[in-house]
Amino acid sequence: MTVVKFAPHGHSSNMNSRATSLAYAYLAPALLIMLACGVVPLLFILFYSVHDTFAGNDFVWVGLRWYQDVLTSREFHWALLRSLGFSALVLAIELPLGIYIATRMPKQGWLASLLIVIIAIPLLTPTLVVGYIWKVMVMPKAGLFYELLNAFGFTLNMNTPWHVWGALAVMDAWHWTSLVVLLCYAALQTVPEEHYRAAQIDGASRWAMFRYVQLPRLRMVLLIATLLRLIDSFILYTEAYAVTRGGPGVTTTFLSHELVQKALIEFDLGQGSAMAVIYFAIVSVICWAFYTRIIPKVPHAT
Amino acid sequence: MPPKRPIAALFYAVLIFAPVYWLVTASVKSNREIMSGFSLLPQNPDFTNLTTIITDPDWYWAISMH
Repeated sequence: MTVVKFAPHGHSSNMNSRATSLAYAYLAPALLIMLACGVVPLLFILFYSVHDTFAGNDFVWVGLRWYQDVLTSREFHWALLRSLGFSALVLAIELPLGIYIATRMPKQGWLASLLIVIIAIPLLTPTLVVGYIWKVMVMPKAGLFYELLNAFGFTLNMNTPWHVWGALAVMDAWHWTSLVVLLCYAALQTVPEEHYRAAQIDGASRWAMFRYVQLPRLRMVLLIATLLRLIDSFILYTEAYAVTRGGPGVTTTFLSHELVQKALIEFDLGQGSAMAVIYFAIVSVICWAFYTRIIPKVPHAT
Repeated sequence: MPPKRPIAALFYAVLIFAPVYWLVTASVKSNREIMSGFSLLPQNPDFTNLTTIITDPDWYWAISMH
């Protein structure tokens, strides 16, 4: 895109603008679908978020009242904090663990292929099935996770908030650490054998080898992994709901659950829509910050 | 440096596979056996659960609806 922007005047600029309009023509079908599936529903939500309705199609303009209500509601604050906390928790588990496992994988051979297939299984599991598996996993007697902890003398109690948080974090780690492993593993494949050998001759420790030979190659994929996991865990709904229904109490009611509760169960369209717009804005700001502030500053490994 | 013996990766793969293994074996266990504690191999493998699902027409509708 920058090529077009800084094109010199004259003949080539003409060529470029023609190429640009052709590019837009090719993009048109995708843009139209995005418009119909993404932008139009969003406009409806924006409309609902500034209107009140009395059963039917009478809409009354209320300005920013719903936004005020949402932004000053304690439920919203706590749900937002819980969502951010959960994201921080799973990132703190999945990134280091994923990097570690990726560096401990064999570079090639049948064992590498077998390990990749097994590690990829959670990524292919539908989210509701993951939720169901872990709902049973934490049951006494039947649940593997419960019984495993029990063998170490720890009794999991799904009425204790921090036990439930732990179980959800383990479930998310089971489901998504594989993504970090596969991304890092692919990036590590590009490290030439000579670099390891040179580092060995220099007497590099295992940590130095990781820090100066492997980590520079991982920067870009780690950024992508962080962004994907941050957004995905922040908008988590299905799995957590299947396991806990937001409980005990509201201790695992994340922002997505709060939104569904407000908009579809209490059927408060105005506040629900305002919350959806705020939720969407938070996710957009995170993505925007990543793409404009963080990613351009990362030097590409050669 | 890739390790000579990938013990950590193997251990991790076993942990990842455990719930899947449990799910598959539970599908051929009786409810009583599932609820009576963890057993590595099903004592009397019983495939009626699976045949029920595979021959149930509702199930195919459920797939096509999603």
